[in-house]
Amino acid sequence: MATVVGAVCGVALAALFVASVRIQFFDAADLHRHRSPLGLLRQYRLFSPAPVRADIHLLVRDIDHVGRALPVREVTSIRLRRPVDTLWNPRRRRWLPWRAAMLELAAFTTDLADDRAAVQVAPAYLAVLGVATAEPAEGAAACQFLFVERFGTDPARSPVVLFCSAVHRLEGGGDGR
Amino acid sequence: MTPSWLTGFGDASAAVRATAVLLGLGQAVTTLEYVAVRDAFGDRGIYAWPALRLGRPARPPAWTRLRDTVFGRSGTLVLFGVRLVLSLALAVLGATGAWPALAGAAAVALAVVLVAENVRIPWGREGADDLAVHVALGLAVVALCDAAGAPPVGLVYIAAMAALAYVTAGVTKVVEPLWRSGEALAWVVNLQSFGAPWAYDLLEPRPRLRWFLCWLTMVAEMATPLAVLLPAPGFVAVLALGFAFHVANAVVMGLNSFVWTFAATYPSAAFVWAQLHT
Repeated sequence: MATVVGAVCGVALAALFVASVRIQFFDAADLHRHRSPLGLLRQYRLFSPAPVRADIHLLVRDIDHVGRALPVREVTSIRLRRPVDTLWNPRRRRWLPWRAAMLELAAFTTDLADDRAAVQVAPAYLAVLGVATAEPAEGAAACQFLFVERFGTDPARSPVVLFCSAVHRLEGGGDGR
Repeated sequence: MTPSWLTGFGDASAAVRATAVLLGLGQAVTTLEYVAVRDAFGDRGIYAWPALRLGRPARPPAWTRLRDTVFGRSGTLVLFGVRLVLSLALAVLGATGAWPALAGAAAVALAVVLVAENVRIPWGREGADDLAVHVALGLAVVALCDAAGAPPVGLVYIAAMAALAYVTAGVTKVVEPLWRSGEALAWVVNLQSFGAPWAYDLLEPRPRLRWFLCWLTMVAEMATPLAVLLPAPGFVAVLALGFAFHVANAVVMGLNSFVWTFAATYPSAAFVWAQLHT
């Protein structure tokens, strides 16, 4: 009994390890095609090969019922490091997904070169749209979101727009909800 | 002269208990961090299940209903509650050494919950979150093997996965000119998200220090698995360097979960070391 259990467990873990080694060699396109159902196979390219070089910010532009743009608001809430973050850093659980969402949108947009409007039904797009429309500005009837890349504190480098959504009408738009 | 605490990890139960404490505490912190941002799991949050479910494969209706119930906002909060209880139970039972069968059951249950949350939270995960799932799987397999009187192959698996994570991180850095030149470190510490102004002020005007730290990181990450071949002082020094590296990352970059998760793999590495050297 002990031999059988040990052998079965050993073979299963060895197979999982070999599959994990194999996936480290995949490029982004391979990864997109071979997603493991339970998400157990992941790459461990921690800050590599290219290091993270920019912060991702989500900006929302609200539009009122006559089509006038309201002040742009930032949804992302990245703040400077605090000593307590060494032990307790829940806020990064909010902004970590922005980068993944932005990369997924970029991949979808590239894949859907002939039908770019289809990106609007991508899970990443819908999730970000939900966040963007969660708390519209007073008087907003529609909104549009943008992903912007900002290169640290280097004043010589301007932020770059990475992705710009379509304009979406808000439910009950125009009465400030 | 080999320290007795190190040879003590040659006993699988000592390695399992240490792993359980570190994994349990780390997972408790991570779970509470998710609970602190629970509004992000609502229907208009970045982890909104109504949006993320569209990226999952189609299943039979009954399965889909179950999945939507478990992964909806309320279900997810319940899942976090279960995860927190299991994490703390694993840490306490591991520390006291009481009721090993119950600790084994907690390890199996925690592995199941972490795999489920792997599906629920497809993005915004760190390498430490991914590795923690494999540490829990390894502990769960150790518990199953222990119940059947089989050898603790799960500990070898945990050590192997940690080695894979370190080597991959090192090799993928060394092929990148920005890491080899030392420039990468200045980029990372200059970020609002992963950097710190004091670290940027320290490193930006010191290219030699940046170069040294980048190469130290790359070489150490690639060579870490070889530590099990070293004599005791060398092995302990490598683990101490690794732990200091993760603590430094937690201070500078706010990556606190890496400290717990990678430290949780060290008892398994010590178990493998002890098997090779005794």
